[in-house]
Amino acid sequence: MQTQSRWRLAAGSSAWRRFDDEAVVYHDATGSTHHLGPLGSALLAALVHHRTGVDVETLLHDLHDESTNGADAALAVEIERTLRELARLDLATPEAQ
Amino acid sequence: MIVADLRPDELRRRLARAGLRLRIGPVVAEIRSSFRAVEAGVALHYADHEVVDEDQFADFEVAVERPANVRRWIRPQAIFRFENRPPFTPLAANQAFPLLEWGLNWCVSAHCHQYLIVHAAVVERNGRAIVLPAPQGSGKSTLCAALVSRGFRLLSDELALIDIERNCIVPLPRPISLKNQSIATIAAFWPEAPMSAVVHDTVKGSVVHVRPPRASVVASAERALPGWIVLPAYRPSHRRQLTCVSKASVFMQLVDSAFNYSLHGRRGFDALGRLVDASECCRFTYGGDLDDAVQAFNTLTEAA
Repeated sequence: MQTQSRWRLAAGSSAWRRFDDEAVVYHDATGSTHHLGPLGSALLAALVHHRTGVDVETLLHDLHDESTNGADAALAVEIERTLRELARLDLATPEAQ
Repeated sequence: MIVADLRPDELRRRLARAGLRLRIGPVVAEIRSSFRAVEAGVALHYADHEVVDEDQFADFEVAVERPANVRRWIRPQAIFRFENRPPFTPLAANQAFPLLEWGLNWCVSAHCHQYLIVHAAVVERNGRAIVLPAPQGSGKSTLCAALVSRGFRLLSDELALIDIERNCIVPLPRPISLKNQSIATIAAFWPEAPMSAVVHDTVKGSVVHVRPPRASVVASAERALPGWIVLPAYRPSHRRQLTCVSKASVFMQLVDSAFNYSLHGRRGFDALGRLVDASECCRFTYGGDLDDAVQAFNTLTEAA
């Protein structure tokens, strides 16, 4: 479960707007608009907060609450999957190890 | 001066020769046509619109004309021209007035890029707009006509013009277009509706237009602040249901329904964001009971 991969916001500018626990993002370079669900929205907020990059363990800690108690492994997998999806959208990028 | 002030022969002369210049919301359209159906349609549906002097600037110069070839006489056709160019293929001559309406929709959606334009009906109550974005078959125009018949102000049946800088909706009061089953539905619900004769066998099936209420045309300069974004869904025999929907999903639906979102880039994103932020977002599923539907909107707007 413990993973060392680090992530940060992708280079280039984008605008985003949160609506409750979801978000929409406009990517300047591609002109695309994306709809992020609760986890994607929370991860993007975390990447904005950790401008210099952040590892999955820290993200897991940031997102952890009582509802996830005992489900860290599953949440970590979901965080990794969602980060890869954000990377596919050019919104996040993994840092070289 | 408004169209109703013109004598019939003067209306015909203007349409056939120099062109009739009409102020329609924020735009001026110069219309030329020798079709009697266009003349009758303009006289009925644009009766309350301002006639603009011939020396004033027109945003669009459009014409619905007979072709110069054999189709002038055999299976006659009508051609829509925008600044002397035909952007569409001709249609049967009996569709001359619907062709004008569809052509004007195209003029606005393809050229008025000072606005963010969304495919949606918009009505207003107490200064707040109700935006009804929807794909075909959702009952958008039926609902719009029903609401307008019960006192909601018509801003537009088809095109929501969003002022990007001021975060408000700009009126474009034009005829409401009804298709197929909705024609009989509205005729029964609103027996005195000022409706044109049915035109059959168009690409959209049978169509009629309903004249915008005079009060809506008179208030053309009064913009509306965002109030509600309601996604209508007509489901025959379903009970009426008004439910909250996520603002992010409504935002994406507006992106999909916008004609020129990509043209505006981040400004369009920000404008839609402000619109959605300032609006209550709902999904409205309704069956055939339009009285009940109108009551739901009365309740919705009174609660604000």
